[in-house]
Amino acid sequence: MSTALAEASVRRRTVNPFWYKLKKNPLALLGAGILAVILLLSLAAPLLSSYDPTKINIIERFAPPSAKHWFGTDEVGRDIFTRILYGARLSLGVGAAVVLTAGCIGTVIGAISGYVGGRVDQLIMRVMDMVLAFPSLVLAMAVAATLGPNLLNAMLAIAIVKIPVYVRLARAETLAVREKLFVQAAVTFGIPGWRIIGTHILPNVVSPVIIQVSLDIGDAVLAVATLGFLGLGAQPPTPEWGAMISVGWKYFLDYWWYPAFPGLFLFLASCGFNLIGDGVRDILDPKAAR
Amino acid sequence: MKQLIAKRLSLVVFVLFGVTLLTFLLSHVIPGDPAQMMVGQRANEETLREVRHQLGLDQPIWVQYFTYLKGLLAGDFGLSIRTQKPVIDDLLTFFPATFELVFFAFLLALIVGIPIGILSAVRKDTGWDHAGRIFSIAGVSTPVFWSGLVGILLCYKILGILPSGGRLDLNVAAPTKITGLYVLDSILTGNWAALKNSLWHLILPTIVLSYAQLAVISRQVRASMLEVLGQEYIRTALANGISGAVLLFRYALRNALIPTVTVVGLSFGSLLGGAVVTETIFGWPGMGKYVVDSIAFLDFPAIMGFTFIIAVGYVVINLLVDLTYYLLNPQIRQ
Amino acid sequence: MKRKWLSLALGAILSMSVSLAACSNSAPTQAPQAEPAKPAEQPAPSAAQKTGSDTLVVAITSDQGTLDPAVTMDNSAWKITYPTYERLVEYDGASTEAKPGLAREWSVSPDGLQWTFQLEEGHTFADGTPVTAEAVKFTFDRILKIKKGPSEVYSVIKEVKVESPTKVTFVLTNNFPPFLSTLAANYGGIVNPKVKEKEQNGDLGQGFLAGNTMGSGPYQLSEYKKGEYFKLTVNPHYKKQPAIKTVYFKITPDPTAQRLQLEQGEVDIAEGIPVEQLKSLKDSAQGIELIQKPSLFVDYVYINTSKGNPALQNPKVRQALSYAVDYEGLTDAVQEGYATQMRGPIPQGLWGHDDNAFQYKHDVEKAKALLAEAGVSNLTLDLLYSDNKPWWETEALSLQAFFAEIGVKVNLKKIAYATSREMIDKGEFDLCLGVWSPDFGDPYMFMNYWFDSKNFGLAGNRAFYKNDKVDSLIRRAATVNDQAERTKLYQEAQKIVIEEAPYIYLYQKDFLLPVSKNLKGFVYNPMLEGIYNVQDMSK
Repeated sequence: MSTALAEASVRRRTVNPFWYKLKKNPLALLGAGILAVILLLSLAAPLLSSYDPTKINIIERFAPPSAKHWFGTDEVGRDIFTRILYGARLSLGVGAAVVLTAGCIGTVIGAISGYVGGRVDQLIMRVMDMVLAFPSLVLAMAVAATLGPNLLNAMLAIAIVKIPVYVRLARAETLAVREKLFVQAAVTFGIPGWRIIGTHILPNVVSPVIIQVSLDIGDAVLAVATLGFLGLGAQPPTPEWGAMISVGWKYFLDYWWYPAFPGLFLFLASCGFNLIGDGVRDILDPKAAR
Repeated sequence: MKQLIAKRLSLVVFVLFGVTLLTFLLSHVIPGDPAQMMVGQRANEETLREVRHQLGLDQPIWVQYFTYLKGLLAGDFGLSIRTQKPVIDDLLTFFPATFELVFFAFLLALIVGIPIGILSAVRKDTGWDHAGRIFSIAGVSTPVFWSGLVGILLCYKILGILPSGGRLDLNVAAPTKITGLYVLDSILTGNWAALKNSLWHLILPTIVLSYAQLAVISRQVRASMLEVLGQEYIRTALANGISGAVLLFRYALRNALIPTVTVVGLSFGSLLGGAVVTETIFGWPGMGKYVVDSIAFLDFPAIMGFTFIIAVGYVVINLLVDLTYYLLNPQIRQ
Repeated sequence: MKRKWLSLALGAILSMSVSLAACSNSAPTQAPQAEPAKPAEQPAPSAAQKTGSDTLVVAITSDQGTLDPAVTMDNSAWKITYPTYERLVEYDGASTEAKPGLAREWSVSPDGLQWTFQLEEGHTFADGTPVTAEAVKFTFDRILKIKKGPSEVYSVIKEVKVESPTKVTFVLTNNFPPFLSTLAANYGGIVNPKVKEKEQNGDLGQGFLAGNTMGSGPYQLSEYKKGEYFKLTVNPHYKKQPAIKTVYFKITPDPTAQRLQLEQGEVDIAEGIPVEQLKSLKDSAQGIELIQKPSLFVDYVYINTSKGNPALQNPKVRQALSYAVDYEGLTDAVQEGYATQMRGPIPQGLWGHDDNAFQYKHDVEKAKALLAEAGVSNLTLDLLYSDNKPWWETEALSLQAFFAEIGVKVNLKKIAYATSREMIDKGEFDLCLGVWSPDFGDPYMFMNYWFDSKNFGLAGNRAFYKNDKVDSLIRRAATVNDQAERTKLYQEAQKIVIEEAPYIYLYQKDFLLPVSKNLKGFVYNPMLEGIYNVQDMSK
């Protein structure tokens, strides 16, 4: 997939005036701006805050926002601002990782399924139907309960649920590309199937996949948070936004800052990804271009 | 057409079989023992063994599976371990509540989402476009638990205009059960008090749930509209002097709706996911809360029953999507 | 074309609804129990959702499993069933001693094997059938036949003999002094033998009683809307008609929603509000009262003394852990101070408790010294806990910090409740958070369950602790009838188990309940945690 991505970026630079178009898309720029700020804040966390994100301090529990604790403290006296910054690395990284994994696996499976066709294709697509028909929450809870509720397993569950979308997408594109002349030519030359998939099919399906990926990341960040909210995500004392909100919302009426700030950041990050996703779609999708 | 349906139905059976097998295996590899959950905070081995025996949990796993399948074919979902009642009874109680909520949420999402999508597409890159997209993206980015809580706080506590949860007030009798959908039942039986009350309870959860789904629809409509509007025949039609509005609604929208139908079908699952949280916050007696409780209790028959129903729902919706495709797009008919 | 699509969708929905309706007709879900005078008691709907003065609304957090007293072992289901049944003996008011109930008086043979009860006449089941000795026999035979949780408690019963319509004798296999208290627990509720008519496939009426009640208590379950509410109405045949005529147990899973409903007067009692909110709730909202009473509900840490980290087999290490805890800081952080540090395993308020027993104090130096003596350094332990109790997360974090101060590293492992039970049973942990509340008012509930080496695992001895001296002391205490002597035996055993510290005795939680101020007559009984004496209440 890395080669495919690289090729895609090469394609973008040569074929598409990507950056030029991006500049003309203010909402995407806004999204990128939001994410850049959050990312910078999280990378600079050790500089911005002198607190330890996991060190508890019971005396200062539920301190309201102040000069000392910008976003207040939580139920065991940890600085919420610090936890949000450190949590950003996790929540955003996890969201991106999940979608990229699902995207890569799904694309490859879809390309193979579409290229090979026949029974293999039928089988793969029915299995994907099964996964799609499966309530994702049940799957996530089952995975979490089986392997233990931790972040990795939550990621695994979300990734599994997301794979079929990419398989369908990649398969549909593959079916279209397979009939193209250059692929037919390659087949006649006796080039092996895996090379045709690698060099001809994948690069051509990458564009819709990238669109889907950029739209999905925001969703995945939310999904990770929702699993965290149901107690199936990161283990304490790890600062993860969803887990913070899930604990914090019980205190909503008395200590509003506890769920409010992680919630705000989750909202902003998800907005950022979605705005970028929309923008990328407008730019990359040749059909939508006017 | 008949052939397509027959082929599709055979696949449905395959998928459903796979889903039951998968759920069964998954729920049985979860470490934990429902017998232990049943006998309370303490449990000695002898009682545990007896309870396990009564629940059939001491049999080999494949025997348990075939016993289950046999029952399923006869329409028997087994006995819930937690409630000691037939699972089918529980599902029939909870399914209509979830269905009602999800249906109205979807309806609202369509009513609001489609115009936003059209507006965004027609006025691409203007302030209208941006405002519409930010509005819907804000929805998809707001965690459901957030909008739910803020909604209750605002409409129940501060304004006092909407109830905080439930399907009906305690002092309003439920309409005679026909479908289990309160709105439909109260219309059918002419029970206007129940109709008013149940609609009143539906408002807030519906808004919360649909706001989270709005972007999926408006985004798809916008993209498809843009694509359709960019195509040759539309330009030709415009050039031929067909008026903008007619064009928009008679030709463009119809074609733009085809992919939207797919997205609607595919997002059924995520809507149910949102429904779980919505149900928890609003005390909505639906399947989401039921399945979360069942998983916590390792109530296998209930988990299996739930998954089965969802899978059937998903398969049926996708079948409908396929048929719609078939009807809308003559090209596939070959 | 768009219209076509819409009509297609609508058609699908309709057909689904119709098929659902067809299904529901073939399998009736509603409880067919008669409901007297339903329309008459419906007040006109009003904008302000305040409850009427003869109606009590209790907000509970989740739906319940089965309501069959011969099956359920769940406190939260008992709150619904308890007022609908009567027992041979009852807990009266706040007392933890058994008082006459259905039985006017009773006697026990000197060897403790024969308990004879004389029934009071005039008690009637909700359908008008009188409560007889036959019904008592039926109830206990049924429990033993069903063989679920409660049968374990009554496994000591050899035979129930009907002497006359008002006289019944229990023959036990061995002397079991706590027997009387077990009869006052929820599973001692006498069931109407007519339940036999509701039997399906030989389930002894389990299916029916799962969602219905058939007792002689002041109330009966008249409506159960799954996921929404349980509605109790009075038993028309009950002698002393209560002031509260209708009780709703309303399922409201979200704590914030519960609190708002309590503040608005829509519910009278809210069970699910976390302790952190109670103080501010009491201060901020008028019309709400916070009931606070000491309870017998304890929170403690199991130290795995045989199957966990080998270092924990050394009592010195366990003592070190007990010294490492800042008990005051912990109860402040976790229970807002609404808790008392335990003094030994038997909580205050239950006989057998020793006011002079040794109590561990926060002493970091001592803890470090003990670790050094034991020759243990760089100890890393796993602390297991589940999502079952909302405060466990804070508690686990606090303990992690306390143990870090004495150089013990703790990894937190939060797992699903069902899984945690399996792991506790198998002993797959080093440290684990747990709670315990007694079903009947006897120190047996603590001493014999927690320390008898026969009870390893979920059965009660979750520390997998074995000490022959303790075994013999507590086993003797369980077969002697004289309470003074039993107290002595238990206190002697307590000394050892405090010294050897197989558990960290954390705290006894206060019972806290926010109720609407105009509700009168609620009495908390530590034996009936979470159960309401609705029949004595008024508004």
